[in-house]
Amino acid sequence: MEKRLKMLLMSLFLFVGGAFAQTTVKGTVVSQEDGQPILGASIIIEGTSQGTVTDGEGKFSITMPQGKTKIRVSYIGMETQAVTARNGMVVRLGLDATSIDEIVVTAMGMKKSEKTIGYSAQTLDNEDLVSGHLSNVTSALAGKVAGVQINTTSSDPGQANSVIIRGISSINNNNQPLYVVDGVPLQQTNFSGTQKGQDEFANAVGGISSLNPNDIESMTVLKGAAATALYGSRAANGVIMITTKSGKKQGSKNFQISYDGSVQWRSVSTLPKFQNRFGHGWNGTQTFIENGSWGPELDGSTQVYGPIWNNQQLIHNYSAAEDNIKDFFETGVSTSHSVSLNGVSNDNKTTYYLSYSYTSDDGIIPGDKDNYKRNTIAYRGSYEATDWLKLSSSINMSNSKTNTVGTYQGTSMIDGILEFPRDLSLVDRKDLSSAFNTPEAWYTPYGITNPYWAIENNWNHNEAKQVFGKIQADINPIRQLTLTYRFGFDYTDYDHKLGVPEIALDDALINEDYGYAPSNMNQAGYVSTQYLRKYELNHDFLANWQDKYLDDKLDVNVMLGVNMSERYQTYSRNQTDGLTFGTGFWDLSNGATKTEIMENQYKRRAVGIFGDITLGWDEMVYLDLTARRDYSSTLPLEKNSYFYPGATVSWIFTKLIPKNDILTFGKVRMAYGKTGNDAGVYQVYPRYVQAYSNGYYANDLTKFPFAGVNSFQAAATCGSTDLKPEMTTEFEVGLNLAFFNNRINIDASYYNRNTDDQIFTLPVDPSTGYGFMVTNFGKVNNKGIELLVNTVPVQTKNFRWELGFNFSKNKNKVVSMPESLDGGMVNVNQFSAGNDAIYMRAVEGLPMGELFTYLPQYTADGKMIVGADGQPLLTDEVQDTGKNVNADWTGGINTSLSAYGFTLSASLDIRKGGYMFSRTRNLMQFTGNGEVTLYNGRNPFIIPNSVYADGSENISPIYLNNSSFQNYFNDYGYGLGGEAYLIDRSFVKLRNITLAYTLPKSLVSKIYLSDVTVSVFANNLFTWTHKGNKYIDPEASSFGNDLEGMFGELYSNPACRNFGFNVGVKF
Amino acid sequence: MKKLAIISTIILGFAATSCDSYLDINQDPNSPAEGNMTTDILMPGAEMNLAASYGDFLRITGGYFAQHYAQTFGTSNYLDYSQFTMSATRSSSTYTQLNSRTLKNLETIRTLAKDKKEWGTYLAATTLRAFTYQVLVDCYGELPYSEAFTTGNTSPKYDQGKDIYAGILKELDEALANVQASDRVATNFLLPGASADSWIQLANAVKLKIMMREMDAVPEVATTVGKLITENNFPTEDVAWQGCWKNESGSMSPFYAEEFSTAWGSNQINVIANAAIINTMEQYDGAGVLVYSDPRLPKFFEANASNEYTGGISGTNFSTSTNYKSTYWCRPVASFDMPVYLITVSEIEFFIAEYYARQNDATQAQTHYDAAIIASCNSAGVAADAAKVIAQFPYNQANWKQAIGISKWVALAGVNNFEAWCEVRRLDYPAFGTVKGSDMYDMNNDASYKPQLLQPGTLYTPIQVENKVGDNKLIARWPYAESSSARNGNAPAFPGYTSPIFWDK
Repeated sequence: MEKRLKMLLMSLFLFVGGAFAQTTVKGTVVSQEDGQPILGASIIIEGTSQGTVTDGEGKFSITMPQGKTKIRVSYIGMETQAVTARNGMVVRLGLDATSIDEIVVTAMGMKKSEKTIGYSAQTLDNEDLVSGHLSNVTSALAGKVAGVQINTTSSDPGQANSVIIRGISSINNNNQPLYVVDGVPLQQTNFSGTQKGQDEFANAVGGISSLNPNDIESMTVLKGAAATALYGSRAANGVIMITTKSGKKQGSKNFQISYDGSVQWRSVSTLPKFQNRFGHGWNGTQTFIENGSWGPELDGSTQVYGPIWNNQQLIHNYSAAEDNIKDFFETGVSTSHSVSLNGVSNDNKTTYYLSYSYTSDDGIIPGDKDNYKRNTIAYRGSYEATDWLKLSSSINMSNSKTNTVGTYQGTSMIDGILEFPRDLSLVDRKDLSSAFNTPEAWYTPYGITNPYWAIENNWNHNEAKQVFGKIQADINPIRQLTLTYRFGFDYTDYDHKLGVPEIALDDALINEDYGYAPSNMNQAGYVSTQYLRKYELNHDFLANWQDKYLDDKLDVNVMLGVNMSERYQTYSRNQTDGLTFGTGFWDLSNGATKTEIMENQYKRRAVGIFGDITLGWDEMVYLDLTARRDYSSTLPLEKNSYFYPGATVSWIFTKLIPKNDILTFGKVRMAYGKTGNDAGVYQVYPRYVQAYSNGYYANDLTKFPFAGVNSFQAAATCGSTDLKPEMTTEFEVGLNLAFFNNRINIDASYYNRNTDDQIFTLPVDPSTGYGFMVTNFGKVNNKGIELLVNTVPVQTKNFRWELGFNFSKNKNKVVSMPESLDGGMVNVNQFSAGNDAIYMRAVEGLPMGELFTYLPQYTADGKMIVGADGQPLLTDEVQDTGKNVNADWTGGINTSLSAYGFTLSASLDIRKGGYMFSRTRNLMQFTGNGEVTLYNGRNPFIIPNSVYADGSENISPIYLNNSSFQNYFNDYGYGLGGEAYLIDRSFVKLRNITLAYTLPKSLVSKIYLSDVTVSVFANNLFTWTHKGNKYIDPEASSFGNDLEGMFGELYSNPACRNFGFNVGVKF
Repeated sequence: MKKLAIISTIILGFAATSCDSYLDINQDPNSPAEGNMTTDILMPGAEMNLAASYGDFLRITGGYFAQHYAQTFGTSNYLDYSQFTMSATRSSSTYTQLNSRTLKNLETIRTLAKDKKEWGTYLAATTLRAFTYQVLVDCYGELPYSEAFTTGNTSPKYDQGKDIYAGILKELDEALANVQASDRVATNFLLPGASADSWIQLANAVKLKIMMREMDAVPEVATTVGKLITENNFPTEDVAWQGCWKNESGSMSPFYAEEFSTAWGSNQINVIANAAIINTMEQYDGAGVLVYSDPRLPKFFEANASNEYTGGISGTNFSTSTNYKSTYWCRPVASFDMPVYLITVSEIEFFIAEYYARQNDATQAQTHYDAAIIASCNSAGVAADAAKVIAQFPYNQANWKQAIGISKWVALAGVNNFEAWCEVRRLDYPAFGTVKGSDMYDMNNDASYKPQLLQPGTLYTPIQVENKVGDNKLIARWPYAESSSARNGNAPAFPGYTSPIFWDK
């Protein structure tokens, strides 16, 4: 818009040039706020259509026709002034208090004035995004954008975030938004690894995670289907549009150099609440080798523990080592540096922006074992070759390296920690040259090991590279028409290597193993690699017509476009077993047998044809109509296209009421839109895979080629030749109000979204021949409200207090399911261990993600029914707990106080309601390490208010010494059944608090700088959780970053808080 | 404007005309084409999925439920099985494997074989299919059969076990009617290189096994069984997957791979011998003198660290014991190349003996009973000592169920533990004695460990037995697998752990 306006005005200037030359007036336009010159302000001679624009120094020169003395000076976002033209004049433009006139970059890179749009779009500028100095910029959205839910998969460096806009609507497709950088869609690769059940993690690779946050000018979240229809299928979950910085003239200089650097420290913020009363043992007895604290009461005596190795045994003080776990973790340090150079050429025809950044993040795990390093380099430039042709391009490169400490059951660090007895000391077990600190003579042989040994000997390394950018040409053959061709590309690859060490013990030096030899935890060890390359190519052809008609009252903007895209991926996974070097040499040559050599490729293409018409009347009413037809390679060939329209209306009703001091601005808006979505690749035709079979624990128990023979079997998922595209339909109404000259701004939305015919991989009874069947599935509804209130309670010359609130409530419901399902439910994710099971389901009539488990049974008068052994009699089938993973509401409070160059800002993030699965909670019960296991002082008890199935009173006590006390906790969830795995997800987090100081301009200019800012900040300083959650940070997730990830956590590493300081210098 | 029109026309025209070929790229390059599938390509995968389930999960669960197996010191992976518990999720992946990998691909093989008149292969696939369905009925009682593997039907109805048995017998007869003994059979590891004649014998054995198991419920099959026995065309050697296993991950014999090898990460000891089987295979007199030691015992279980045979007690893992640690117990004999038996000569002979016993033909019954024991000793490599076993467990026509029940239970203890659980449910022998698990061990007191209280050839109620099974009962069936019950609206309600399978009269 800005550019077009400029073009328009320039052309106006061209055809009036020199005609009625009378007086030439020269002047400067500056900002009232900071005195900086304004580039591109428009100067119109009152009563004519003649005008000009200011140059990079804010200067203009205009020739006044005879009889004309007044000019109108305007600039987007500033108050227009009508002044008498005088030579040498300085026009000071103030911020426009009468309209909310932020520029929003909408679909296809179109810039629109926010007041004209009829749907919800929220923009964050660079300052909002970088104040927390988070290496992954999406983290900065948390608590700031209404209706957007951010979940960090973990506090480990380099981990992925989940971003969900307006609730979950897709059951097993992606619910993540589309990221578009300067008009180029990016592939978001969230790389999660689960191999042989050994590793659970989600690294963010490529996509937005490799953007330098300091390169971002602004980020706009487009929430509704109407906003996203032009991006096609992939925008069904919303779009996050990112505009990066470009070269600009800075005051009198035509270039600027900036530096931004920060250092931060992180420490553990959340650990389970441990008990400190009972020590190492099982069933109330000291056992020397068990992995848990079910032993006798701690008495301070000196005790031996662990196996006798080489005639030695460890002793310790049988008393609580209270801060044992906390002390294990260290303070992580991370640093980041970012330098950029940007500017414009002297003739204003060339702009350039060049930046480099380096981020290094070492987490809380001892040593340099969990870390993330990223280098980015970016270049953007534009060149106005002629007055009708502009070329621009951008290229961004990044290279990231992540070392992750895997979280899984067994020899992982975290399992070693959570099951560690309360009375042993962990921090003095670092010396791995001692057999007692390695699996050889570790205190327990039951599958878990020394966390220090685990982090030293397991290897999980990922290196990713990404190159993305665009080449664009804009042609203006005539004034009203812009033709654009844009080639966008995104190339990502990663090399991931996992090394699991061999444990090959012979027990030769073990004199006494107390019943279970350490060699029982021998493991073969393996090296596994995953290599991936993927690219996405986009060609966009756009034609844009813009003009004003009917006395400039009718604003017309028409766009037509074609998009062609191709996505390709090739992936290889290899594994070798039978290690020659048991640890430390992580190469595929290190194995005696190759057990996996696997490749996988996919390619998909889509063509979209779309159009958009925006009509504006008198800057008061706007109508926007969009339509798109997509052709996709992933749908059955004969039915591979689908059409979807959208329409929005907005009405700035304050144009009709007299200007007043109370209601400054008011707009109502209404939007209706559809977004179609295609299928995943290869979900249509039958597929076969190389044959394999599984055992109970082991995958690929037998695997082909087998004994020199190869074989294939039907793939587990059955495709469908009847697939239809899925369709999301959204209706939205909204209201924007500004009071008291923008001291209070309100943005409210209501939306109602239906997702029909979802393409769903339905789990089916295997007697159909398949475990899963691709099908069009039912209907999911999300409706909700979003409210955003920004206020400026106090503003004086030197003091400003801003206070903002956001609130959103989303109601989610599975409206209908396929008829073939009969029972009407589907498991989305689950956990089962032994006889316990927690299911996260989609059930007709209930919110998505309802949690099911085995529950105790009660008599009509509320007594718990127990079996002959006095333990709760759990149901045969899993039951609806009435709990689900969705939050009741979320909200945030942001505030900032500025005075004399100081700014103190803080943001609070609130989530109320919703439940999650927590393996950590269960482990606290299983191991006896959790506070909850102190029930009744571990003395015998009969379950209160319980009866046998025949109704007679329960007289069977539960004892510690016959394992029934432990069973009560481990098998019966201490009377809660499977609900003992669930925790309330509510939290209030002090996300960020920052104190920044901007040095006075007078001071910095003396040292030839234009801007110096220093700040100190803290992230996630405090987290308040539900009183029932004594275990984990409720944002933790171990199941990736989508709907499945909302299920909860399995052995997640602890959450962190960060502190740091930052220096920003602009030259 | 004209320029725009031309450009748009070119672009749109290009998009529309070449769209189809541009977009026709949805065939998975990593999958062979359906048209290239042959029975030789599909058969090895289908049979190995059966071998993996039957040789591992079903062996383990069968062993715990038949009280061949108990849980070792300290670990608790299968402690619930030893308490006669089975959850819907525990068996789910096995149900999935047998249906979607074994039966599904066997179904494709049958279709291909029928089309190409490969009747040898058709019989082989039908035989493995019948065997698999019988196993599934014996676990769950009912499951989808008549509507299974039907395109478009995501909720196939459950069929009664009795109807499934009748259906698979009919299928076997149909396959046998078409085949010639010399017909070729597709590549497989069960009877490698053999032509259809070996598979005809195997099909006969499977028919015998199916009909004998339903003998109490469907007595009219006796005539057909009689004919089959008179024909006497059964395998003369154990039918087993053997000779194909290698000592590397993905190629090991399944039970060894999962319970003994280190290939899948840290591996814990779970399975040990149960007091019930040890007391039967090694018997002492009142004075504590060893009076009988079964020659097969060292072939089935390893002696403990003190070179003794000891039996764990169902329902406990001795977690706080100071005497009964893992080295005190006896693990099953296992090796990477141990065979996975599909059906043994001993089982066939026991069925024939039972048939004659039911006909009151004591002579023939005894002949085949003895032959069964000889065959069992032969499989164990101790053929020379068979007479000793026969002397200890002589045939008794008056109580043939007890004689056959106990001998068969012992014979299966190192071979086909799953079949032992089925046969104990059907024959009701070994029966529950008067001693309970809690009488033989109290976890607070090591001195209380007295497995000798248990009468040889009897079972007992596990310590902390599953509340829903209760005293003096076996777990009679499994809850319908979660992968079916949670996904199929036609899955019936679980009738309960003690509700018998149709043949369990």
